[in-house]
Amino acid sequence: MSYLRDVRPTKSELLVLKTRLKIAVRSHKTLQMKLDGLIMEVTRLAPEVKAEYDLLRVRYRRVRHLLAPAYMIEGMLNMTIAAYSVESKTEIELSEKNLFGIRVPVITGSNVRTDLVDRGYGLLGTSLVIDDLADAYEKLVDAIIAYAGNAAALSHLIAEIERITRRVKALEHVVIPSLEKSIATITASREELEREERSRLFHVKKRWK
Amino acid sequence: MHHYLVTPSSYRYICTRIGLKKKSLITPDQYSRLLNMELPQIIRFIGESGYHEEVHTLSSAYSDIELIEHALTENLAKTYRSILSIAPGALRELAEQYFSRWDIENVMLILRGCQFHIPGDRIRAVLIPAGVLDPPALDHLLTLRSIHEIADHLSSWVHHDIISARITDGYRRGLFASLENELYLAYYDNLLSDARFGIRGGDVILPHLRFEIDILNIRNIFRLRAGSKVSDITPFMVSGGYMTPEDFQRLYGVTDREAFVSELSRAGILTILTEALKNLRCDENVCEADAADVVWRRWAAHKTPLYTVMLSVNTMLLHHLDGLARRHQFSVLPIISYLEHKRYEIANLRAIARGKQFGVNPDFIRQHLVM
Repeated sequence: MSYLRDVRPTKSELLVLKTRLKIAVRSHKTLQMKLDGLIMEVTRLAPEVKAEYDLLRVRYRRVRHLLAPAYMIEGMLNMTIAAYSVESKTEIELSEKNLFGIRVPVITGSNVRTDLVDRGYGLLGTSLVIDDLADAYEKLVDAIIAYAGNAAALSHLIAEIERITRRVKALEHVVIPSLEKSIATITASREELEREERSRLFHVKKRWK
Repeated sequence: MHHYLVTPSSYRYICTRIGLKKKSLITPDQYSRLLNMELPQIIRFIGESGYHEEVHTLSSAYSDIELIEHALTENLAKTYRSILSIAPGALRELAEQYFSRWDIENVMLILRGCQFHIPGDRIRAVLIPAGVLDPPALDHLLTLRSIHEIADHLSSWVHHDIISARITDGYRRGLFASLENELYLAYYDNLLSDARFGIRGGDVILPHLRFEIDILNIRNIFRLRAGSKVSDITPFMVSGGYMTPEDFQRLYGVTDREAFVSELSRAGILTILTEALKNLRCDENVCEADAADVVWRRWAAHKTPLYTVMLSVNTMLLHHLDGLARRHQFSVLPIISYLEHKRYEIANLRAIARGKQFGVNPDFIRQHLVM
């Protein structure tokens, strides 16, 4: 299907189309450069996110591994009491940064890892399995925050790459060829008109003689 | 409530009663059978043993694991309160001191609930009224609106002075943790002074208490090393054990294996750890060098000791207590021994039930039993 329809074979139309072609070529070059940059950024970020995801899984497995012994040793009541004792609350801050013109989220956490004596529960009334579990959960939250920020950035970048790839391909395979074809058609049509005009003038001059 | 004169005959009476109660506790064979049961079968088993009243009362409100946990906790509270009601004279005072750890837990929970605006019903659901403060007293504390009012209403409680002194300036971050530690330090202090001077023949429990305190301290020193950056650990160390808080402070800074092992060996802790490791691994060839190696590796890596080792240490302590109780048949020791056995019976049943809920294998659950 042609990109342009009902193109009038006029000189002004030809000029417009040539300008549009120039812009399309320049856009294609810019977008291609942006796409390369984004792909390089994704290539850099993807192993990081993968490592963070693996760490997250390891820490989640550790929590699951500790949860059963903790409930077995302490029971629901002591676990609830320890949970009620917690005084420091984890705070998550959400901001944005600009990456190749794309706004990607940045997620940071504060008060994630706490000192044993600052957690809120007394040392003498609790057992070490509570410490182990609290420590494992803190590490898990830490891993979740690190993973969430980079994974969100990565998904934004991938979405952007898809969008730009679609544009680049559209410019490359539809817009530019279509413009070139239209320009060629107009040029040919205009040349044909010129030839007709010359032929007509030739015959008129011949009749005058 | 019965009142007895503290005479040798009243000791003999209560020790005989306690001895009978101890015989009705769940045996290791029964634990082995329980390990192969499913949750409904476990509920039926405990419903047909000493917990039938609690299981029948609570079965309409809770189901499955929650029913087991609540029934066990309620039974523990009931057992402890029944001991309080039959203990005569000075023995009752010692029992009150012993049970006040539950009061500390309950009071701290109520204070936290009040300060952090946790609904009273949720706090009530996790209270264990096994101490001197009975359920109506705890209910009344739950209705109070500020931590100052709670402190004022605890004027007759043994630790009132500590609470009122710490709460005067109001809440600040870290207050409850330090208050809780202080209350437990006072608890051990009172228990030791009562054992030494407060009750005739109370000194027979001193070796057990001193061992228990040492184990508590060694466990906490590992916890502090693994999870904290504090340099002065003496506020967290209980005095009265074979090792003083200053000894532990010195040990805290040790980075040399030889010095560390010799300190543990000098306090007799290494022998207990060796026995615990032997029981845990079911291997008679485990020697002190192996135990020292295990403990040192955890210490050097800033990690807490394995909780299964600590559970095995608890088993050792229980055996140690049993040995002392057999040697002093008409003293406070059989009572303390029964109370500890009861506490661990509850813990074991809970461990089995929770283990079944999480679907872990029976051998893994067995490592968490103290028997």
